[in-house]
Amino acid sequence: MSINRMLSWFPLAWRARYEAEVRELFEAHPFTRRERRDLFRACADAWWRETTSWGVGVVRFSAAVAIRIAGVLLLGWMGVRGLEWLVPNDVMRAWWPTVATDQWYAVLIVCKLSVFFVAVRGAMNPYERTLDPARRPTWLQTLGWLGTFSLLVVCDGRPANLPDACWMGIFAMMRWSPWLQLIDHDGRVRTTVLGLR
Amino acid sequence: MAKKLDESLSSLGRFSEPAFNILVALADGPKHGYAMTQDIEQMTGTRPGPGTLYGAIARLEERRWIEPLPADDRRRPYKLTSAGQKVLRARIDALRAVTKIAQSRLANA
Repeated sequence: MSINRMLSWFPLAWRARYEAEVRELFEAHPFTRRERRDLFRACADAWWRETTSWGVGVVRFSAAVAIRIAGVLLLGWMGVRGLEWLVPNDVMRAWWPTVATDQWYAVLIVCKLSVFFVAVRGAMNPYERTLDPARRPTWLQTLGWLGTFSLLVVCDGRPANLPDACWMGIFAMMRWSPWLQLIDHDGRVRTTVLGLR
Repeated sequence: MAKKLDESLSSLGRFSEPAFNILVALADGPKHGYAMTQDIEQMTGTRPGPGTLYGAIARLEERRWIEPLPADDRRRPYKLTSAGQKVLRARIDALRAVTKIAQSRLANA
C-alpha cells in the first residue's frame, strides 16, 4: 500500500497539519514494514485524538472505517455480479409493459452507466484529496448530486433494485465523508453545518 | 472541551519515551521532523517511526512543551519552550536519581 493511500486515511485536521511533514520524511528514506505498522497505529490514534468526546469519537471513527469497508464490499459485489446490475429485470418489465422495448432498455442501460460514472467521479472527493478549502462541496453541488441520485432511484425504482440504491448511498457517504470530521485549516477548529461551503 | 494536562512526561503513556527523545533532540536548538529522527537514531540506535514521532509531537505541542516555527518549504522546525525545558530538566533529575540508586545497588551486589 502506498504512503499516499495510508495518509489519506488520517483525519482531515491531522492531514492539514502534519501530512506534508510526514510525506517529506518518507521521501528521505524508503517505507519499511515496521513504519507501515507504526503509521496504522498512528492513524487510529489520530482519529481518537481528533474527537472532543468519547461518544463523538466512536461515531466518527466507526463511520470512517465503515465507509472504507463498504467501498471494498461494493467493489467486490460489483465484481461478482458483473454487468448484471445494468440490465433491467423482470420486475421492471412488469412495471412498464407498454414501454418495455429493447430500445428503452438500451437507453436505460446507457443512462445507468452515465449516472454511475458521474457518481464515481462525485465520490472521489477533490477536497479530501487536496485539502484545499476552496474545493469543499457547495450546497448547489450537493443538491445536484442528490438530484442525480434521486433520479436514478425514482426512475429505476424497482423493489429488486435495492442494491443500486445501496451503492449510491455508499458513494454519497464517501462524497460527504468530510462532514464527519472537524476541519482545521488555520489553527482554529471549525464545524460548519454539514461541512458545506 | 478543554483537557486537563498532567505536567509530567509520564502522562503521555506509550508516547513518554519518544516525547523525551524529542525534547532531548530539541535541547540544542530547533529541528524539523527528519533532523529529529536522525538525531534520535544517533542517540538511541533506533529510528522512531513517523507515526510515533508525530503522535508525540502532537502531544508535546498540545501541552506547549514544544512549538512550531514558520515552515521552510514543507519542513516545519520545532523548538523547545521554557515549559518544555522545565519538564525535560525534571525528567533528567528523576533519571539521575534512579541511575544513582541502580549504580549503588550494582556496586553492593
